[in-house]
Amino acid sequence: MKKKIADQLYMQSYIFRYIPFYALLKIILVVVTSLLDIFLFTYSFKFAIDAVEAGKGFFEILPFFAVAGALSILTVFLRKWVDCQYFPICRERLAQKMKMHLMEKASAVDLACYDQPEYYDTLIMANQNADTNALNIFHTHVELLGQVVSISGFVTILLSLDALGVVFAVVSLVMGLFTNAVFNRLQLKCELELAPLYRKRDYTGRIFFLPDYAKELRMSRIKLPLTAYFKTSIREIVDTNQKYDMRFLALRLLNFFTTVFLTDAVYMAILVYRIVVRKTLSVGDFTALYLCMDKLSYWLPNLMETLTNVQKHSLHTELFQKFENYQNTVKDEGQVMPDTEAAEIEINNLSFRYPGTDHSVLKDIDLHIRSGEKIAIVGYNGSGKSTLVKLLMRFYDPDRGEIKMQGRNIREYRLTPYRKQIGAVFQDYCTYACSVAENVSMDTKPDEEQVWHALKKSGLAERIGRTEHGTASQLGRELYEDGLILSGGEAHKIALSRAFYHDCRFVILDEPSAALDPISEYSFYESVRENFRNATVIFISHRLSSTRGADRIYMMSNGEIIEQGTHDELMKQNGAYAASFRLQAEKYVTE
Amino acid sequence: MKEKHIWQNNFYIFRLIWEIAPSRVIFSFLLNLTDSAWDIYFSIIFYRYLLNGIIEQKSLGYLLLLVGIGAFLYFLRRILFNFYSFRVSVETDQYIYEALHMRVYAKATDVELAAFENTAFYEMYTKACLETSGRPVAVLDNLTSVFSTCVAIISMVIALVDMDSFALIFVIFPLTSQLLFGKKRNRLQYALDVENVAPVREKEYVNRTVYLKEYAKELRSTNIFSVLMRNYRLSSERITRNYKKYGIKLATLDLMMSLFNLYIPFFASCLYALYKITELGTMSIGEYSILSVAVIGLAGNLQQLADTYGKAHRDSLYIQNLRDFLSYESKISEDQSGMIPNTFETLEFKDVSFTYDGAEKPALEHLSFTIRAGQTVAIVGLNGAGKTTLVKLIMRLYDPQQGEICYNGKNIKEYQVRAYRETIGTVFQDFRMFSLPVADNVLMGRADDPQRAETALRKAGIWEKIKNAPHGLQTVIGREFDSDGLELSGGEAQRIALARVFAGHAQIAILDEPSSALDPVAEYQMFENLRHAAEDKTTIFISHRLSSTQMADVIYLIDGHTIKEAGTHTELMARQGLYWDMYQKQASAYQGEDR
Repeated sequence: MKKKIADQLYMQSYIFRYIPFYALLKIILVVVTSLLDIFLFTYSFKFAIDAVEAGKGFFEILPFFAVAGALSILTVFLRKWVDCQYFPICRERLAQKMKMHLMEKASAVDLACYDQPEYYDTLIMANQNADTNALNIFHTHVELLGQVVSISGFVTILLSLDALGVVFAVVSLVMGLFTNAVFNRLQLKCELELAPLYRKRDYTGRIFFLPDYAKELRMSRIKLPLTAYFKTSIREIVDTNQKYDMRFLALRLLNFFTTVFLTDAVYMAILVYRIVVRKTLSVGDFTALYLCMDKLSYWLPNLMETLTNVQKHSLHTELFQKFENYQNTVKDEGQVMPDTEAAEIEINNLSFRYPGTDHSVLKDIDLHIRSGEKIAIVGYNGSGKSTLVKLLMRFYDPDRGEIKMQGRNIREYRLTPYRKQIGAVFQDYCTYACSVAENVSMDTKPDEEQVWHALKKSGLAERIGRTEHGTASQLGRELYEDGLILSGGEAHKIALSRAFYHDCRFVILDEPSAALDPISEYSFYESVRENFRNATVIFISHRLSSTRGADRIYMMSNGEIIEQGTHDELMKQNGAYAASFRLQAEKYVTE
Repeated sequence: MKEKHIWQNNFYIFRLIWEIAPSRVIFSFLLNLTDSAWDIYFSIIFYRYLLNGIIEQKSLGYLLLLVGIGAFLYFLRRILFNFYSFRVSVETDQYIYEALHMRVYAKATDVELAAFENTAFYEMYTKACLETSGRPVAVLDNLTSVFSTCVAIISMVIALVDMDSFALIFVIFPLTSQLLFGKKRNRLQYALDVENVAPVREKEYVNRTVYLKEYAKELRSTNIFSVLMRNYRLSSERITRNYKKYGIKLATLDLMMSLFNLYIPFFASCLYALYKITELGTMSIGEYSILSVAVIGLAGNLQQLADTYGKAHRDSLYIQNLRDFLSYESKISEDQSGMIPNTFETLEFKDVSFTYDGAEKPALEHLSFTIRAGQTVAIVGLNGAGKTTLVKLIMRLYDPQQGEICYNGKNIKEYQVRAYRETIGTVFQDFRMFSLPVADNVLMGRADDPQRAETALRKAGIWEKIKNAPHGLQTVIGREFDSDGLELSGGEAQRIALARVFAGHAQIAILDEPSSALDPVAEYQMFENLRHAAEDKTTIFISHRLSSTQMADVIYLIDGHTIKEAGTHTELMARQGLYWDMYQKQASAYQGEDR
């Protein structure tokens, strides 16, 4: 519990650090508003009634109301100003400071964190809106403060007028907390039982909604079993609810009798008895007590709800702590800047398994690539090709063995420049909702001339040239209505242009031709041969025709290099490579 | 939107719910009524009579009776409310959800496929889906609250007239605030929202991109992060500027509104009552607080009535969308009547042209060819040439704008859609599995016939795997909803998709070859699956690489939106056209080796 509170205070400290004036103003406003509310809507009645009973005149009472009125106008205006202007601006300031800091951290976290779903969900996704969470925590705490002030205000009035009222308030609070806790526990149980049922129900919705399924839905009668499934899940939801509903009802009524009924009915009867029979109360006191209890029976349940909310925040804060304290395993401790002139790669005795698994993806890999060499890595799905690329990029560090570039272990280079000097086009490349030039250069200040060169080399210059804004065209329609929509093949060419733009000494192309038609594929390889004459290039491909021209081919299977050599050498060996090649070539046999 | 439409739309939902779950409607009324009864009792009757009773020294029994009635009313309201929220509403929520979604789904599967590619329609669909979950119930609650708010207003006016009709004048403030400030405020808020749309969207985009897995590698290996951060900062600054521009005006209007709605009536009625008590002596002290309570209560209820109207107006827009969606006229409806097709003989394209909605150029132009029973046909072409569009036309997922497609000599539009489509069995390139038992995934809604499913799975060569699964044919595919579920590899899933073709009465098989990055062995297996399936049926292959074309009886090469070349492999090679060029380029790397 102590830790939970400390965690929440820690997260909230970001608010005080980045937008301290807002935090202060908000606290002051809440306290003042709470006090003013008590004063205005409860105490003023007693004051007026007492004044009248004491025989005071209208103009003697008037100043009291004038001051109260002026105070309320002032606080209301301040509150509205904060809501309409100051808060939104501060929210942006927080987003710019805290969120950008978080994004920066997220974009540098070990790639390994993305591999395990539970890690990805709790460490990365969960902290996506940590700034909003921090703000929510702060607001909940402030709300709590406001409620405590209000309640203590009413309790003070009660104490000054009638101590018995305090007893009723306390009993009602304790009982309310107790019945609420029981109710919440039961509700949580019910929600847990319902969650998978809702997922089942929503699955059908997803099928009917997604365009991917639209064809099958029309070409078959699959919608019959799907709707049956939908109706069953609805029935199950209703049944599950019915299992709990009477218990919920009973608990709610118990709550009523132990809270509102006590304060509003029993206590009221006692007050009536005292004023009528015992005559120990004035009418002013009676009014104040009545209004106090009325307000308390509104604020006490509110306080309980806020306390429940405070507890709910603990989940977020725990995950945030985890994120803040996360230490990358791929350490950026190197000092050397990478050489931009040549790229000789040497891999010695390399072994690797993904964290949290016990299966080695790479086993004792030895590889030597001379600067300027073109090599191909081929193999079945899951043979470890892409993992090898990830290690070369230093997304992971190997468990055993080492990778050297220009004779130096890659750990000795500074991490970011090392990664960025490699021109890598991944199989699952992405395009971004920014300009074509930025998508090619992947930087804020693209060199226009170089962008055009790169586009020419990837075969996209003509297409971009035809557009109205050229390389300034925005990609995609998500953010810009007149954005450029590219086909799969064209988008792929954008990704390929990136490798050409930087004129890298070391290029990795992962399945570069999967989305290209035969003609584009052919010219792409021509272009690569022509433009990367001096660069070290690693191709990864299933399409054995495309890797044939490589200086050296490595065939991988189960994390090991099982064959290596030129195409002709491997065909002579008549091993796995030759078998795969013939399987694909079979269809192209010349008549 | 016209006044009439607003209410028509709201009552449309009201009627719908009444048909689905009348108990919900009745309870909603009852609850609202007890709410306002309780409200009225406490704000005007209870306290006033109690206080006057005390001052007039009424008997203890009389006063306790007042308290008792209050407690009882409150108790009643709590019981009703809890029963409603834990029983009635959870249950009827589900039934309303079910009934509305069934209508939406039925419509979604009935509209022609082209509608799914039409952004306007899809947006309408998206909204309809989102709105069918919570909106209808909100509409009902809003409508029933009109009734109880009116009851409350009338009772409070009566009470005020009874006490002091002059006090009614304070109600003018809340009544005019909407007119004086509300409209202007809404306009400003709207302008602010509009100006914020673009930067907010950009911020959300950046946020999403930074955290999604698929972008992780590039964020680490390039400088794109700096581009994203710059865009984020610029958007955030734009938002700040917008708030600076509008904030003070909005705050001032908000202040005026809360003064008019709450503070002025409150202070005015307090002072008015005090003046009458102290200076004129025409009001008893007991009525002092009641007057302001009644004035504020009346102001609140009037406010609520105005809100109700605003909500009805907003709801109406969403309901209109739902109604438009449900009344969208399907261009190729499954319920369309027509002939039942005979045994397949020929399928003929007569000068068919087709343009996608909103596209400038046609996807296919002047297509003419004939497919005969028993033939194996291959369709080839570059990416985006229109191969997939062609088969979608055959399946009648679209209708051509020009020319006709004839099945056995009759335009396919003359056949009943459902029956016509059943003559075609398809394995799509992007075939889908459903999280349902294997049997359902094979029979696809046809009558439950395990024997038939088994035979089809045998033919597709996947029966052994299914037989050994935990629940045989009843094993659910995928682990999403069932930990006993069956995980399938790409090739295995394709065999299930193939079994669908065998399980039906299809006379024509359309097989779309995979083009994704599969390793050579997996790719080879998938090709073999399809080749095997083609043996005893009329088959149309869509080939993304020129690999399975040699065995075809006829090859159609699509280029420049029409059939450029047609013939057997040998004939097309002899022509030395585009087919030859593509084939050469693909084959060159494989040829001339030492076999």
